[in-house]
Amino acid sequence: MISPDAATAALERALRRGGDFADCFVEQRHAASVSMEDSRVERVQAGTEQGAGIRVVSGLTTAFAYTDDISQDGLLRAAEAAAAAARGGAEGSAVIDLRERATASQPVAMPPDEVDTSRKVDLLRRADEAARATSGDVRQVTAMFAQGVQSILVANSDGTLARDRRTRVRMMIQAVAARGNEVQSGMEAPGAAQGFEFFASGAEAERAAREASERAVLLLDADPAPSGPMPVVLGNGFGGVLFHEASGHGLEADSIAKRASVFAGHVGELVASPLVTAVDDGTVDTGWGTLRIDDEGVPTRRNVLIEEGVLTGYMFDRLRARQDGRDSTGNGRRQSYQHIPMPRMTNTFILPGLSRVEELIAATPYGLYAKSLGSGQVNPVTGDFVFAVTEGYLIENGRITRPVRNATIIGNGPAALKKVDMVADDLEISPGTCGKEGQSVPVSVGQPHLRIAELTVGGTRLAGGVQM
Amino acid sequence: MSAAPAEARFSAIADQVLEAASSGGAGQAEAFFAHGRELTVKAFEGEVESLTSAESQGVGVRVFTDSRMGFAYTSDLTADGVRRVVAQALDACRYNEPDEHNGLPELTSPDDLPELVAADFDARSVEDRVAMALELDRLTAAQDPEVKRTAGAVYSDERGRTELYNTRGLRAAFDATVAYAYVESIAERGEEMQSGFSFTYARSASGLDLEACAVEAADRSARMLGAAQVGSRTTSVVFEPWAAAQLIGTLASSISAEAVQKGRSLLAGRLGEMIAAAAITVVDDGRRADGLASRPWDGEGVSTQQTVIIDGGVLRSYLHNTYTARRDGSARSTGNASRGSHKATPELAPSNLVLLPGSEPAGALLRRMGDGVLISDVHGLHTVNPVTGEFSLGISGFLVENGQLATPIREMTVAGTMLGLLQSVDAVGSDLRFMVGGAFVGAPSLLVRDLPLSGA
Repeated sequence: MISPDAATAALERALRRGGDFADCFVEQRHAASVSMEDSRVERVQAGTEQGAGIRVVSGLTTAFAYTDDISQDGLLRAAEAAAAAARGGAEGSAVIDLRERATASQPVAMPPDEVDTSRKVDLLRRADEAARATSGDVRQVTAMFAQGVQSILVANSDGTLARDRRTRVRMMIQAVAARGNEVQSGMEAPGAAQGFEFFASGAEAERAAREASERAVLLLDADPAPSGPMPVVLGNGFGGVLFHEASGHGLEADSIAKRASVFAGHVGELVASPLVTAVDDGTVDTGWGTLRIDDEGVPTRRNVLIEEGVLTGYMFDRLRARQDGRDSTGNGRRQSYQHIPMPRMTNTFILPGLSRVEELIAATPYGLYAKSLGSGQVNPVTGDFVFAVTEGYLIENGRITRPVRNATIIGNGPAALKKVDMVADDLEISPGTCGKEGQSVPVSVGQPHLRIAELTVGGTRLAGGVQM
Repeated sequence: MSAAPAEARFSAIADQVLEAASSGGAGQAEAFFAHGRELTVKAFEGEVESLTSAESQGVGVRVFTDSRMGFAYTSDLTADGVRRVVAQALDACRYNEPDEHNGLPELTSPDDLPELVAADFDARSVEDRVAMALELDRLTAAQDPEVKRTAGAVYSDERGRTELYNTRGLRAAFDATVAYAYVESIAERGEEMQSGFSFTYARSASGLDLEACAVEAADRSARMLGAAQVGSRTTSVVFEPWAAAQLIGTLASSISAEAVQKGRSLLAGRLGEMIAAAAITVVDDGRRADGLASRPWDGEGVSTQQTVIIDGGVLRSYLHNTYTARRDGSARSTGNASRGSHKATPELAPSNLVLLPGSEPAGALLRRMGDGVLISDVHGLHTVNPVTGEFSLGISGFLVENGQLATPIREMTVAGTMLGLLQSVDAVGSDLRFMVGGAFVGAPSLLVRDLPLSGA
């Protein structure tokens, strides 16, 4: 993309008015997608983005400039803009000595940009047919395939020079089912940090399509959800989004440093049920949030956040690690060259326990089985969260009885962590997109089935039987 | 349409794109350019946390061949980049299925909208604008004894240029400037923390009201201290303007003619029907001077306009782009082909979506309600089901007794359907406010009867 000499010149220019640290992030991203609706190919599109972001850090202040001109001149102009923004520093004359660090490359059997578009169209057709074949009630199917290949180069004033190429593939399948006036929908979005091989056989696309259709059809017969406080059994896999949103963000070192997290100052203390051990692991094989190096050139690793309920550590980028006098944990991530890196999660999950999922259900006289969650929203200051339950069932007398629809669960993240009273042995990890301060990055969330002794369920059926 | 101004930035590259597309076999082609220059300052605890200065640009290319559409984009505007993006767009045509309604709009001449640019946009130095972020942070922390800090204050401004060229002879350009600032206040009492948000926006820094923004954010955090969950109930509710605006914003996907034509809108087949209370009138207005989504023409070059969507409760119109209007047969594009950036094809979306205000101040609505709940914030809006309109949202706000705010409440939910809610509106307030959320959406306070709230 650019030569080490060009990076060296840019870094020296960036630090010319002083600063503790500077880095240069160069990126080229090729994306393509194909979508289908009404069983017709609707959108085939492709695009290229490239650019560089240059930052100068002085104390806790970041001066940042980005450009989409990655010629030597373009880089120097951006470096000059960053230097100008890094006001107040003493004139400096940094000498940069870059040493390239070898990074193992991601194994990709079928680079998606070398796979003919017709194979991706075939994949959508298989998904479309599988979704429609599931039930006569399925009226509409939307399917999309998307690929992304991001090549990065990171160079910094500590002498780091590192490169990485990240390939990801994902599908999104939505089925709409209707019967009479009743309309419901179901969605599945499998993906992996892999090449086209992840979808090549078609089996994963068909499985996801069937699941999306089954969910939509199931909801046609669902009762209104109950409401009020009750035990909730959370599904494995994407159920982990609750931990990610309601606790994970509070374990990122910037929210700790800004005292915007309830976990600040509690390392070594019991912050969760002793049944909970949670990790963030950027090295998981083909995980959606897996990286060999983070966006600051630091190798990713497995970080234990909570061990048997005890808070063991936070997730750091370079800036917050420097502030704390320690090493980055490999969690410095950014959406693109247009964004400043921050501490971010990679693949974050709760480790399996010893119970079996049947035991969680059997031990619940009355409650909600939230098998599948949609996305949610969390107030990072209070930890209060709300999540939609996209597939839910009533548990009565220790048995799953009826599907329910339109339920949400609402609670407080740290409080919910302490109320986990059973953890199953069936860990699964699911892809997701994490948003923070306007930046989106790919992550995985995950957990085994687990039970929370009490959460508030917001449905349309009130205790008194009033419905709307 | 005014021919592209003499200073048109991209006309030479546009000629290359259109020429390459035509010689590559495209019957029609279009090049959409976006260029932006941005400054963003984040302040935290009296210090500058970050200062970003940036310039970015790119092109999105649409080509049409035998009623097939192809699209590609790039930020690489070198000759090589242009060749590649045109080749990718032409390649995409091979796989997309033909559709007789595809194609460029007829050439028209929309009026300019000069008020999108503030004459004094460049008047303030970088230092002055850095000082505004610091000032907002400081002001917010000085408003209330229980507010000692913020989670951060941000000042940002951008000058954006849009240029559009097509093989029907369209050559058009416009500029728009915007400045905004926002802050999240943190109120503390013992172990309890509550946050409150506010923002201010204008066409340039001189139009921002930092003081009002600071006062409102601090108040929204401090007034929530002591919030608790209360028991489930069915009750009358007043939605504050921002909460109401966010709810109205969820209608965006249902009023799209594309969603209607594809059978995924809850408003399909209901034109001319009373779908909401008589107090409800909703318009989409792409030309409001104070609307951040205003523009002279849309992402296909079609003039923007004011479109009445719901008039006194009656559904009057959907939003159209060129494709949906042709597919409909009797409709015209409403100028709602929206492009989030050069990376996106023109998609149907509202511009400035407004639920028009009534004449009663918010206090009068509360007094009319008597006992009930004031909802100041709604959470989890993206979970509203766009096909069915079903929702179950997290809320925070206040119990209302005799028209007066009483205990703050949190960890509650409200559930229902969007149409059910619109039909249950008893009154709309006079206090129109705008919120950024997908579209730029404005609404006043809404008094709604008999909503089920879940809590303890």
